[in-house]
Amino acid sequence: MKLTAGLIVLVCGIQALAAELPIKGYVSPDELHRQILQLSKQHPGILSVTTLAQTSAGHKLAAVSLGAKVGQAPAILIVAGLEGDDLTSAQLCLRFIESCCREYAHSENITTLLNHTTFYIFPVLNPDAAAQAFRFPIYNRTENEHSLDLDVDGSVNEDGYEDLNGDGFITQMRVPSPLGQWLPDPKNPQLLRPALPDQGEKGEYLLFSEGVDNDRDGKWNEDPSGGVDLSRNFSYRYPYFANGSGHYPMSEIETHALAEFCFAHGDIAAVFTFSSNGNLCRALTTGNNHADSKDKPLTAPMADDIVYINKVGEQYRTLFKYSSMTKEMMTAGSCVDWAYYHYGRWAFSAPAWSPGATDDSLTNTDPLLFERRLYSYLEKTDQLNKFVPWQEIRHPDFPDASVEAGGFIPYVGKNPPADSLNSITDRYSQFWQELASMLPIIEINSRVERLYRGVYRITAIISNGGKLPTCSRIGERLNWLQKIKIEAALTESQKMESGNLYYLLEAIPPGQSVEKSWIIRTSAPGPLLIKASAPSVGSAANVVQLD
Amino acid sequence: MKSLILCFVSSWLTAVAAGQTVPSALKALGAPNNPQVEVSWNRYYDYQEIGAICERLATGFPELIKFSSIGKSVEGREIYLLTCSSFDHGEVERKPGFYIDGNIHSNEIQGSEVALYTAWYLAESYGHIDWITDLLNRVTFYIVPTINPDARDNFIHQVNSPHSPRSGMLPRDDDGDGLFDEDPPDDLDGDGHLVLMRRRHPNGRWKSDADDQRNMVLARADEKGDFELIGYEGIDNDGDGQVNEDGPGYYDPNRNWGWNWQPNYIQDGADAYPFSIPENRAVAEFVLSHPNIAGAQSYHNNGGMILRGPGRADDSVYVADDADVYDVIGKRGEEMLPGYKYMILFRDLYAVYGGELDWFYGGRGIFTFTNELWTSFDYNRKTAEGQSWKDAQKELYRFDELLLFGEGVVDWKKFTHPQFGEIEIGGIKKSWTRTAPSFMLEEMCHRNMAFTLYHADQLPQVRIDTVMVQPLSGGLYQVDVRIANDRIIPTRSAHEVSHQFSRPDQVTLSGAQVIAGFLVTNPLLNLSIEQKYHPERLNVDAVPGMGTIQVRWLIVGKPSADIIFDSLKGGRVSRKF
Repeated sequence: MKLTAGLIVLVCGIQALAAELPIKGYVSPDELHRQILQLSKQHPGILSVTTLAQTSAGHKLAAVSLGAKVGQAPAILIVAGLEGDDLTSAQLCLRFIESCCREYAHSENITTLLNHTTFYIFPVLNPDAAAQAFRFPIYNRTENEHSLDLDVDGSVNEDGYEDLNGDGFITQMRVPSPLGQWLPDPKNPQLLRPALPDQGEKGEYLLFSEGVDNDRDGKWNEDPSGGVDLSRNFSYRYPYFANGSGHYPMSEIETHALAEFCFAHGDIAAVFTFSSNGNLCRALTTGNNHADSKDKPLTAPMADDIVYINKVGEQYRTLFKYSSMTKEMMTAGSCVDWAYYHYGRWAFSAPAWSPGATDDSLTNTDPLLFERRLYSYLEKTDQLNKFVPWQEIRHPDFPDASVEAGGFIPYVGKNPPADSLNSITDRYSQFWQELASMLPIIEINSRVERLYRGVYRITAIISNGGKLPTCSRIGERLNWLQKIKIEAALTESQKMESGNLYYLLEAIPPGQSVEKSWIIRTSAPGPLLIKASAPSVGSAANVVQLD
Repeated sequence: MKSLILCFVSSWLTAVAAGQTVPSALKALGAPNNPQVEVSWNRYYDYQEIGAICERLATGFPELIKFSSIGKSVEGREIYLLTCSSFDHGEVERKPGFYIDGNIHSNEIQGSEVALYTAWYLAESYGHIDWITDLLNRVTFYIVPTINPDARDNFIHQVNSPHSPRSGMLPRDDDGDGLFDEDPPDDLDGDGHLVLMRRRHPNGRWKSDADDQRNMVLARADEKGDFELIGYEGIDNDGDGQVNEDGPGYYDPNRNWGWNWQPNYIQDGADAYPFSIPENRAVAEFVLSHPNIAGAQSYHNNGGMILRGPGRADDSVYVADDADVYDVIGKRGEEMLPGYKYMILFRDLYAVYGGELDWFYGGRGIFTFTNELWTSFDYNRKTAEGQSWKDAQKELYRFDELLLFGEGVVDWKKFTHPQFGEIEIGGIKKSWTRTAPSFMLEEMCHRNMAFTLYHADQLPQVRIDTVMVQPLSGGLYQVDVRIANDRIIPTRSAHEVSHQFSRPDQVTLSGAQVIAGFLVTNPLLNLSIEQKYHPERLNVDAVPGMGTIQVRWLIVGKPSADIIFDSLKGGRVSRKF
């Protein structure tokens, strides 16, 4: 028995050698963790790594702090590897961290960036899923290793994928059948599309992912290993009872750890998440969002916030030139929606990479838009070897049918060849620098009026010199974001006759200011320190002389 | 000498634990006459004492009670669990399960006593009262006396009013100044009570009640008062111009559950995210790992209510069949609990997002009630409907005067306050108004337990009703099996069936060759649906309350086999034919 198991491992090993990883040149989640840890030892002044939890599969879930003033400067949180089959974002984070380490104290841009901004980075939120890209058989995996009964039949993980043609990959399989709903696409017969019965079409094929019906229930690969798709486990518009969304919002080790980290870090001003569709790829429009309701959740961002999200979006689109995305703007239970609606931060999202996303020649209504873009991208870039042509296989579940396996190799749809990662990293680095430069900056100017001998009115003018308000409207509503606190630090000889020990300020839009004043009576001349700070904005101070 | 005394004390304790009281010649019905574990049900217990009672129950009844923990609280206390069932009858985790907790709101403490009383009463009555014996043979109780042990102890041991703290002990910055819990209430005169502050004021709007000088009433609209009320005892600890604005906590543990959770701009007290509160998360994970739990009860105070969801009018998961079940049990509760009303939360009380009972039902399909223990009806056994706040206040001062001899109220006394100057301090103690006095506590425990046991008794009780074998031609047999549920609660709630978030019930035929299997959808018209895959193991949505389902197989060979019905919430029964 043991021998058989050994043989299988050996066979798989040989197969692994024969097949080429679709993401050659990418590093696995564990290796990536090791490399960042190594960098943190070489650059302790700007880089540290905290292990927050261990995932169900035993991977370390890490948060990286990058910056010269961690805890004292406003922070941008970057969440990568959130969608399990997006490996690119993790590689971009690694390269971004590497380049920051390399260039800090050498390049002016990076030095300024890290002296004024902290980056908290979750390089791989779902390492359990990402690891699947580095072991055979390779399949597009979005679920973590938390074992759940995905088809709710009482058995767990009982019907996963099988690599039937032995190429190392789980692609698709098509079975000719009068019940079939799929047809070869007339423009590109390698691709299948749903038949359109109202146009007199009749389907020819049943279409499945590659594998056998292990539990013989008439469904193929419906309960593979795992799990929960973390990108659908967050609490805003959480999809209850949807396959792979988990038992309840924020149920997973990974999402729970992220939320705990976020609420413990009041310095986070903005969140960027990598996801297939995002709020940066096209401009948001305002609409009815229940903003006036006291007891109904918002259904769209607050109108004032949309203005600024779109300003950031313009910067993004200038850099990335993506034409409009295809799918619905946001999936239910997404991280970026959570970051905005429930965490109250400026929250942005975009894909790490999207094949042919700058290609405008295809219409948005095409049901095969994504596949066509991908196919034509592979064709143009001479990578058609990443599409497995349909080839007949023997299939135990369909002994009499001519079953064929074929289709795109896993991961190619979201992850470009490794040699393009550096240029994408450069663009993201530029974007994050741009975003950092837009964060609010507070300044204080004070005015002293002498009302009588030893009696003064001190007026502090606090202004925002950045390009984003000091707090979003949603942040004000949620109360989790610490407001700017301005206080007059009185000395023993100074007594407050009027005014509060401190004031908490409402949001200050860019280029605007607010005034706060105190009446102070002094028994001896001396300076008075006025300071304003908020963890997510930074601080400013001003000394006035009361003579 | 010291060790001798200890020795004596411990042997005395053992003697008590073994049931050495003298039984009465005339047993008062209700309580056991000669309890194995002596517990007083006229007092309140703190965390440590609850642990000790649990320990004694588990030691006294090893075949009926297991003592463990479902997790740890914020401050590291155990969240105690008593698993109560007859361990000699069936597999504990495969019997229909009933979950009970109390004290989610820290100041609403008596739910813990009701929960403990239930465990005690069940164990003590097993083997003496047939109804209870049968119940413990069939059902497993999971009893968590307090799911908020930190703040329970805060309520009991720290200076509090009847209303503080409602929150658990996770530090939060309530006033947004960047500091955590820096301005709690203060016991100014050090008398151990947190009561009200009043100040004489020539233009005040309050005056002493002519009927009871201790009570403060609003002056008539056209009348001058003598006092202003300044709130609960406290000083401005952090000098920000506010008093008592950031005490321990503050969130509402019962707005934090992962069903229809909404953030605090919509739902006050929701806290940071669903199940951000570790105690709640521990309960949720416990329930998820015990899929046999089909009914649940949480105990709060006060107002005399038997509440069920939904918490929101727009939550549409309470489907009609399930609502019928709730109605039957809730109405029965009104009969058992005088002064209590069966109510739908959003409709009859207030709208709530993220409540515990909604997660139990919405998230897991578990039939769940929340009882608001103690009601003003209890004061004088008179309905308080339509009573004004002022009259209600007068009534409890009257009760204190006549039945508590003034023990429930601190008389006004003078105090020099650092910020308010000359003031007076006085008013109702924390242990009065929301919690029952000693002589009414045991009755409250028993009546509420009785309601909960009725609910638990209605958990599905499934049996294989009939097996009919009919020979067809050529060695082929038709086997029809009818399965019955003798209780009100279905094996899966209608909500669960409609969203399919738990596996279906399964009826398996083993030991014969199955040719085909069917669900008989209409036995009278003989209509059926074939299950093509795995016909030997038929999937059934649910066995309805007080109803039956029928399945059918075609088998070949010897007409003998095992029939096994297996349901997560309905248990497992089998029969040979």
